[in-house]
Amino acid sequence: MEKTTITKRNIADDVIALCPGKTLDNSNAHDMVDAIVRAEQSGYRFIVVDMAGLEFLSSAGVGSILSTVELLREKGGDIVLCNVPTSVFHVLEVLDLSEYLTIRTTEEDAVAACNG
Amino acid sequence: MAQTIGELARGMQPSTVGYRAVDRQTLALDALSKLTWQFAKEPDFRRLVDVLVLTISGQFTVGNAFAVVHNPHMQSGEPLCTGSGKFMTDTMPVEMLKCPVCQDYFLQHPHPIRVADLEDFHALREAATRAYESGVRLVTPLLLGDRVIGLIGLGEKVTRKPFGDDEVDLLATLANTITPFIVNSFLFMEIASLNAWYLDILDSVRQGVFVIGSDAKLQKVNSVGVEILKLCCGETIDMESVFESPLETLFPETSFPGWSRQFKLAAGRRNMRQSEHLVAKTADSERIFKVGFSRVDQGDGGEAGLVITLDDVTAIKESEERLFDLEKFADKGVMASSIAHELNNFLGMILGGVELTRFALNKGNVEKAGAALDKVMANGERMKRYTQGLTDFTRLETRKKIADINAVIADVLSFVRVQKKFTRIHISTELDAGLPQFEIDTDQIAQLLLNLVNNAADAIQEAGRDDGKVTVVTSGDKDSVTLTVSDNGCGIPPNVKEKLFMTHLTTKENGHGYGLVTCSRIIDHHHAVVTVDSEEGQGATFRLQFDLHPEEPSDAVASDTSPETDSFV
Repeated sequence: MEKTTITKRNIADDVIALCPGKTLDNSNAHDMVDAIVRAEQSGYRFIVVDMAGLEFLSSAGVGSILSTVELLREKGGDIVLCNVPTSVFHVLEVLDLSEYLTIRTTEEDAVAACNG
Repeated sequence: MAQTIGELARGMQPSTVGYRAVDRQTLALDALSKLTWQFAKEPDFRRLVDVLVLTISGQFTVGNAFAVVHNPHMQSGEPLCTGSGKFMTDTMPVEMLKCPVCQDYFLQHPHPIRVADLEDFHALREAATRAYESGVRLVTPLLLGDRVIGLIGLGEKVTRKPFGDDEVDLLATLANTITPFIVNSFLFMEIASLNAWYLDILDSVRQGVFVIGSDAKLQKVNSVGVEILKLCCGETIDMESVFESPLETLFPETSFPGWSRQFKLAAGRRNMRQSEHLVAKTADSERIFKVGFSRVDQGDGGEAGLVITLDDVTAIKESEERLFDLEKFADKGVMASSIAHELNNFLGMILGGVELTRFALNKGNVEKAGAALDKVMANGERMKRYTQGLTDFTRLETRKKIADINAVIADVLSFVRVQKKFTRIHISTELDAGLPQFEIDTDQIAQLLLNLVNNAADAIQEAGRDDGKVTVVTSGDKDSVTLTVSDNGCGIPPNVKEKLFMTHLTTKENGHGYGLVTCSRIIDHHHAVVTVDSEEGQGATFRLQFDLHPEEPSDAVASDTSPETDSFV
């Protein structure tokens, strides 16, 4: 299983974007959890997960979001997904998570959701 | 064991507190179904099990979950496991899964165990209880019949609220529903594996194999078949589009002239020809393929399709062509010696006649000189006919034309009869004057006949007969012409008859074994069928049947069922 690296970008004062690359599965789900937890500990209330280019989302990948989203929500923040490919969105939809998780079309929309 | 799955699930649940009254059963099952089908497109055990965890994670909104499953179709083997969050595992072995249930239970039970086995079941429950400490909040077994084939475990919900009774029931229902999915999916993957195995078998065949459906469209092709298509149609051929393509598209006229028509004719035949040779044109050369057909019949007698095999015999055919030419030269070498002998005979008689004439003239006996000159003339005429016969069938060029096979036979025999080898053999003919003329290569037919009568003479000589007889008969109708060559020689032993047309087979002390191979090639060129009747010590009969309409279905192939008769196409 080829591991893809989680990349980070500051996109607003208290918003950081994390990009999992082609896959979010066992190979990098731990890294995603670590990145989210560290960002939260560093004071970021909002985390945008940029899913552009994501081809495969496994149970571990879904778990990395679900196991950390309440951590941010408890402090008034959130995890916002953006640039979600159709196939991945379909998975989230059939899992009934498209309502539970905050999903926006573009990164700008995601930042707007964080601010408002 | 009277416990229901729900009871089992509750019994194994480390902590059941609270209530969540959401009826999501339909949604959950629908999600599971959709995801299973989505992931079944790419058969992979881990992904299949991952679908379970993915579904559970979504439906119960948990970040930590796991599933461990035995393959219900296998008696042993590593259970498949996957997990998310705290229970994530990135390698296959169960011990890597961070769940005591798996470590305690599955490592001890490599096979699915019976639920009735209470001792083991209690061990499972105890393991589940201990699992609470590592974050497992809900565990349910996957039951297939009376056996536990797997476990599903859930960690804490993201809301940190406890699971309600409805959710416990939902998990049990999901588990109950998931099991047939697992069984079916495992079957699906095993079918995919069998399909891959079947393709591996096809790929291991050195011939190109094309499986054509009852709709005359390509269903399967092996790697050699793909190479043949690329060789003849170009590397740019779209392999995606060849499937579901009709035969005309698959074997286009430009590269495979006349092929699709031949295939359709073959599909309509009851007795399929197994040795059709068809020529394909590549960009810079021609390839020759031996084509075989096999019809795939359904159990109810219906036709399910056609299997076409293409064997590239270009190199073999080229080798045979060279052999064929060599045979001609070899025959000519043998014949040259015979010709020299015959010409010497004629010359001896002519010179003797001239000497006799001079002697008579010296004596003034004009009448006797005239008689001697008549003999010189007669021998000169015989020599002329002899040399004419030679030139008629020793040409190297080969070509087919509409011709009278009786005339070819008469020419050959007129030459053969005067040879020393045949002086003690009576050659008789029964040639049907009403035979239709048909397309033959007269050179090749002459060579074929010469080989057969030469072999007949050798067989008579081997039998030590003084009353040797060779009979050449022709007969026919509007559909076929038959040429029969019989002798009363030594006959052909059964073990030799089986190998008559194989290269290098010879029973003669000085034979080279090419003669009947040449015959076989000529027979093949003329779409003829040869049958051999022979009983050791009683002579032999070679019967050649020429199909006058070789492209039409023919059931005449090998129709002689005599146990002493062998047929060769």
